[in-house]
Amino acid sequence: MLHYLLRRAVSGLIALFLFLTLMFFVSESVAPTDFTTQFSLLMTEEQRAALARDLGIDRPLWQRYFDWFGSLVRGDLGFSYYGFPVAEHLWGLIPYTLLVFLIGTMIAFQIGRWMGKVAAWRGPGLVNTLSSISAIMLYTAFPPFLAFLVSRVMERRLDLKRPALGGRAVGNVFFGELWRSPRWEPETVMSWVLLTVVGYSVLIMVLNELLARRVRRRMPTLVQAAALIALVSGTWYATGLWPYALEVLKVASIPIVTFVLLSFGETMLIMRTSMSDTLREDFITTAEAKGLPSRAIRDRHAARTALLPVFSRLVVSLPYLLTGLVILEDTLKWPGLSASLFNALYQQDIPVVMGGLVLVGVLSAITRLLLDVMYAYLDPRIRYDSGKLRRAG
Amino acid sequence: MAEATPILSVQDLVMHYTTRKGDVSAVDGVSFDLENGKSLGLVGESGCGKTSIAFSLMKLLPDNAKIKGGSIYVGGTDILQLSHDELLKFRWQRIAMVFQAAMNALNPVYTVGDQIIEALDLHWGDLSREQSRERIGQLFEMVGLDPKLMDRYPHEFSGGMRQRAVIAMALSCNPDIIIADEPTTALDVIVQDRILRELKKIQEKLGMSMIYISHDIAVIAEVSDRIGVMYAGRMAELADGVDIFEHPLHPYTYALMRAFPSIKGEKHELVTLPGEPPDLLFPPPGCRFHPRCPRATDVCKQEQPPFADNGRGHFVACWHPMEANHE
Ligand SMILES: Nc1ncnc2c1ncn2[C@@H]1O[C@H](COP(=O)(O)OP(=O)(O)OP(=O)(O)O)[C@@H](O)[C@H]1O
Ligand code: SF4
Ligand SMILES: [Mg+2]
Repeated sequence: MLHYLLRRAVSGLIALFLFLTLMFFVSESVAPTDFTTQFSLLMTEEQRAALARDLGIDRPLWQRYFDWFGSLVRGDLGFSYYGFPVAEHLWGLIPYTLLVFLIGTMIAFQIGRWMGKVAAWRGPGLVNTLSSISAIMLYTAFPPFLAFLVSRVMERRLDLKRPALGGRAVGNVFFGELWRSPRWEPETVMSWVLLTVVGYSVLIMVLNELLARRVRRRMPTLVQAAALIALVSGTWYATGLWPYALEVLKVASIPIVTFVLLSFGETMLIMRTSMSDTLREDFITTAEAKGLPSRAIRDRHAARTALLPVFSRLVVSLPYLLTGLVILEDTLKWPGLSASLFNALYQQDIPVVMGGLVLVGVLSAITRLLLDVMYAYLDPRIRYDSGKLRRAG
Repeated sequence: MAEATPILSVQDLVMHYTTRKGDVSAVDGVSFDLENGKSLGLVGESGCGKTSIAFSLMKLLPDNAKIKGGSIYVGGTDILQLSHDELLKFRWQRIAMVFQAAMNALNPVYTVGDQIIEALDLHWGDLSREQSRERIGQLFEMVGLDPKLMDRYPHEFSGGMRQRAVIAMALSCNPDIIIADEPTTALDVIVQDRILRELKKIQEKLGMSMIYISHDIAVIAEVSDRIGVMYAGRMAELADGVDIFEHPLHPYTYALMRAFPSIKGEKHELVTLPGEPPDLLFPPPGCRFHPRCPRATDVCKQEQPPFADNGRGHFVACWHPMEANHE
């Protein structure tokens, strides 16, 4: 098991390295000119050359590459061509991206899993057809268009003031009364929201497993959800985070909802197929013959086993989810990593571009590894995939 | 023959599958008794309805299957009249099953022990975890598995071990009847023979009743007290094993006997008869065997022969049984 994860981690690192190298050369060579070109109306030729020399972009590409990579290995993302430190700049954006990505993925996964399960269990019929059609429609929707629709509908409902769509500039999205003289900056609030939600989810998952070991029973999903909400909101209330967290979620709800709508369909469709296949397996007949009630057959035997392909697919489709997120952030003017990535790309501010790519790459690698751990946990056939099997005889 | 009240009594069972092309008459008026502690072997060509009978006995049918008539008495109660909850309690507790495809009969994501515990929890709910594990240990020893293996997952078992685990699971709640539906087809002949013989021993030791299902009459003969020969959804002949072998009355059984060399343990299939069994979507009228029967007459083509006892517990459904020529 450890061996397996180690192998995955190493291959992830290698992939990350290759990706970054490729991106470095591509982003440098695709653009016809360099950073200084945008100032050609303001500066003379000599001034621009001096600026280029200052920034070190007059040196050959391979030299810059080794420089950049050297400092990356030392954990230094360098400075933007505008002079600010890249790491600090990106650090402030991570909460925006993670909030939408993590919470959105969690919600989309749960919705998709549940809908797929129910659709397969019910078999062909109206509910099944309707849910499949809507899932396919959302899953294949043009992301910016969906984002536009969602924000149009929700902004009015939630009474949000937001920057207009369109254009490239990305700025603040938090305008309300609350943020005049806040106790916490929005980024801090987001980090705490994330930490509490993810932390408590993991806690509940672990508790549930322990419970299953002890009394061979699990909490129903609804109870789990209620416990999560209670714990999270309790903590917010106790720490005084409550109004801020609520406001943050309200504003973030538009990208989150859009992201969920875009990504739950895939989970649902895979879950439905996988569940229908599982329901035809012999061990389902065994479970019925044993006299298990249909709920136990559906959840404990069929859905649990059907989850495996869904999970392995999720591992594969992760990059696509992130891509979808990039487009969303850009369309919705959500000041996350990718929006900044776009901006930096326009200005040919390569250190910021590369910094953003490093973060996206690391984020994707970490999520992958986490999913791998969970997958290995879910599938005993993988869990023992390290020679243990032979010795078991 | 049938003095004691039988543990299982099936009367005139009729079962259809509804398909787009029409009704498949998979079981048509089948009757048989199974006495306590005895074993019955059901034999017949592929598609003759053996598995359909087995699943009817547990009322474990696919959505498109419908029991059209008859009754199934297990220990005096008609299981066709049970409510859904009663049925759940009845399954595994009274009739358990060893599945045809034992390879996939276990869920890959739970340990073998946990899957047996699941049955114990359901039917013997008052066992503590330790008691359950002790019980599984005993069961594993009984079927020739190391009790330590109970915490292993199915994929860590070989085919033979999985088969044994499935048998242990069937034994777990001390059922009155175990149905072994071609329990060993997926395995090689030697393992198959050994496991079947062990199952037979366990059955006799525990005093359970057993239904063996196979299309291999040699296998059936080795382990069954009584043998039912099925043809196209109907019972052709039902008698004690010796009688079936020494005085087959039905022309189909007779053909079967002749088709088989007498070496036991070798694997044969019933493919040596001329012709094909009928499509059960459109079964032939009268005796369903008549298109292939050398003794068929006009009455055979029009009227279904009654399934009648010859007075010595030897049932046969044929207008012109073989006995006369035979003795
Ligand atoms: N779910 C179903 N829907 C429609 N027809 C079915 C279904 N299951 C079985 N049948 C048909 O019913 C008949 C009896 O099938 P059954 O599985 O009981 O035969 P069997 O004697 O067990 O055969 P085998 O030796 O191959 O296992 C066959 O003709 C089969 O095609
Ligand atoms: S009833 Fe007629 S057709 Fe059927 S088995 Fe007997 S002799 Fe043959
Ligand atoms: Mg069968």
